[in-house]
Amino acid sequence: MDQQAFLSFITPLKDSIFRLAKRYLVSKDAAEDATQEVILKLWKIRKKLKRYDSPEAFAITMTKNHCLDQLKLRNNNNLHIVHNNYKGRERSLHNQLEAKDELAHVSKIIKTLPEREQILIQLRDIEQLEYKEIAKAMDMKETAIRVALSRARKKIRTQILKIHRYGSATD
Amino acid sequence: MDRRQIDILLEKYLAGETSLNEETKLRTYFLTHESLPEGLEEYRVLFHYFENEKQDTYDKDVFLPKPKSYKWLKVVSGIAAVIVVLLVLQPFSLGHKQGSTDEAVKNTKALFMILGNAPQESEQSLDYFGELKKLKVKTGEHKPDTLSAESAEQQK
Repeated sequence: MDQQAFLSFITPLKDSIFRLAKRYLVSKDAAEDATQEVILKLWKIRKKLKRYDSPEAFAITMTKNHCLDQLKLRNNNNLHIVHNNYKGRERSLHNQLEAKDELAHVSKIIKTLPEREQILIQLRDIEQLEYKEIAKAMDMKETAIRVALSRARKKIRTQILKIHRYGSATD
Repeated sequence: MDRRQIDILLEKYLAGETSLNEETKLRTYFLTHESLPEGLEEYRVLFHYFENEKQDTYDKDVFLPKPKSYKWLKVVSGIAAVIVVLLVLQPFSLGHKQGSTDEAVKNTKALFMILGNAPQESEQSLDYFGELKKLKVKTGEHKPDTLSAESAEQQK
């Protein structure tokens, strides 16, 4: 794989890598660094990439592992990302919600899900990957992915409904 | 898509049973319909969120270190080889033009004289310490394989 071939492989993939990294690491800067590092790692092993039956799934796996390592490092250094708590949200619920707020709420809801469910939502509902690809990337069985996704989607829906009912009730 | 179809797809979606194609249909429906029938509002928010997230892009340049190129190394080593060859050949070509054969012979003889004294001098200096007589290596009276046995005896 020469530079040109590598670029045409990585260009459609880099955004997905970045978004997945952001899902794990939350901060944009950290996600950008992770993306660059994953691309470098892939570049170093470019000659071996063709051997994988899905280099794309391999890239996703590599991103996942890289991010998990980063999170471990953070934990070791006692650097914790403090997620926004919900106090601010309750206050804004008294008002008519702006479209952006609505999206921010979904984002917050997803952040409360177990990590694996978050990643599955990311890969399926945002990146729109086939189950086969997700199974390879996450080293999970397709049925297990479907079950976890179903659980996650139902939870998200219930949470959104809660906000909306609460919002309309106070109007 | 009518309401019934959507309800069926949504049910499948929640159960994790929709195909990518079906999910795309749902997504398109909720992104293009601003006014929705009662009870579908939460899906509009959800699919808008998914679509919005997908717009997030990695905008930094992709930095790839250049693969180590050995081209310049080949050029440099080629030049170096030529220089070495020229340096080696130079004395010969100069000798033909400037020096005479007699002078070269004289110089070589002088050099052999100097070198010829060297073994004797080193023998003498060894003799001075009395080492040469003990070992008797230089004189060739003993074969090397007997040497170690003899020196072992001497140590006793």
